[in-house]
Amino acid sequence: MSAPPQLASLSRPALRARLAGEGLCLRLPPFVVRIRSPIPVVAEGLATLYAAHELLPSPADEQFADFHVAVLPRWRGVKRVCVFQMDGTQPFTPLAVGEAFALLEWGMNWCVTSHSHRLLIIHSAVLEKLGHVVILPAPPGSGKSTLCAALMLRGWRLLSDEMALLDPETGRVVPSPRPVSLKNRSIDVIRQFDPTVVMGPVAHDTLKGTVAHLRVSPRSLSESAVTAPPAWVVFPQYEAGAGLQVSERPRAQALVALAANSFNHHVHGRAGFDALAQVVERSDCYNLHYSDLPAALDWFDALKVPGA
Amino acid sequence: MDLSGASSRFRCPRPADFSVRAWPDGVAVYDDATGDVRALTPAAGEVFALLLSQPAMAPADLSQRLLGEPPTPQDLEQMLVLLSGFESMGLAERVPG
Repeated sequence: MSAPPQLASLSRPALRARLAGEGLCLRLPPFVVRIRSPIPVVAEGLATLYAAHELLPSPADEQFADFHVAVLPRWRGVKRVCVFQMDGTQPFTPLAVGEAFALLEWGMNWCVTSHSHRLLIIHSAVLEKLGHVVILPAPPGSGKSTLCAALMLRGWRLLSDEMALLDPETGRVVPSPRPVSLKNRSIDVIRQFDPTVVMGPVAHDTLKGTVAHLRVSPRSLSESAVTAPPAWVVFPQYEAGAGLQVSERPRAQALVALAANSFNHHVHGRAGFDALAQVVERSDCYNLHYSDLPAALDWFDALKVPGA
Repeated sequence: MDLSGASSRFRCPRPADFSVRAWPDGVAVYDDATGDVRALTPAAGEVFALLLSQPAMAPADLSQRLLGEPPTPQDLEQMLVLLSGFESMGLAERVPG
């Protein structure tokens, strides 16, 4: 049986034509997304960052897609902007056209967090080693994505940079490996950490500052069907100049923080609470303050599976 | 020292709506009615467990059950502060009359 076609099998002109026309269907595990956009930076970002993702048959062949999205150019006065659409609705205000690829990424995140309620979704990075995952819930500015990118480059398997998709029935996290969103100084930090990394288009002057996305590791993508149970919940906080400080976080407090970072635990009601309680029950929970990235990575590498 | 309220009795307003998970270092409470998740200290968790299991209790009785001895005025004041916090979170209410 031959391997399924990848996005890289399309030439750049063919990719641009598909995006500008009927759109292309990509498997972005565990979802299928149909993407349309005539904006060149969108094609550039997809070609660079999603080259190894599975390309599905054309939408004209009635390929099912969970989400039908588009990033389209518009004029606002004399300024060229872009809008994100899902099923024809426009949930966000327009952004500068140079931010079109970043808008696509944010829009696809929104599609998942706003509509995929079979899964319990926690705003966090998730990575796996030894068959178990660490969940890193944290607000913007905490250094979560920098840590996430560096851990992936160090060999941890990325399940997601943005959201833990927790199956409440199994208690396992479902992978959704997509490019890691890096902002501002963390872009150069990761480029220095590994000069061979592949990053997509850089969007300047966004609401989040300068934004670029990092391609996921081959292993993260090839094992995207492999779910894993949580073993650690770590709340990172970057503090310039701080030494590495680790403290245990009481499980009840960890649970409250997971709920606060969950997009939809309320949709699941008591079952959602029970699922989050299971996560902290099975996991070691920590607060992590760091400034030195290698020291933080060493600490993660030394984590032991609870009860092992 | 403010001991007003010491003669009141307290109860959990909707026991069936709450789900509780307890660990040695704290207790988490989920409220079906609001979707709120709250963390309590182990001692506060014990008091809430008593409120869940009893029709209504006076602050002094709660203190005695928690401490295993008759409460001092300071103990009673702390219990009233805790119960006042529970009231604001919807975990407890004063029994009328």
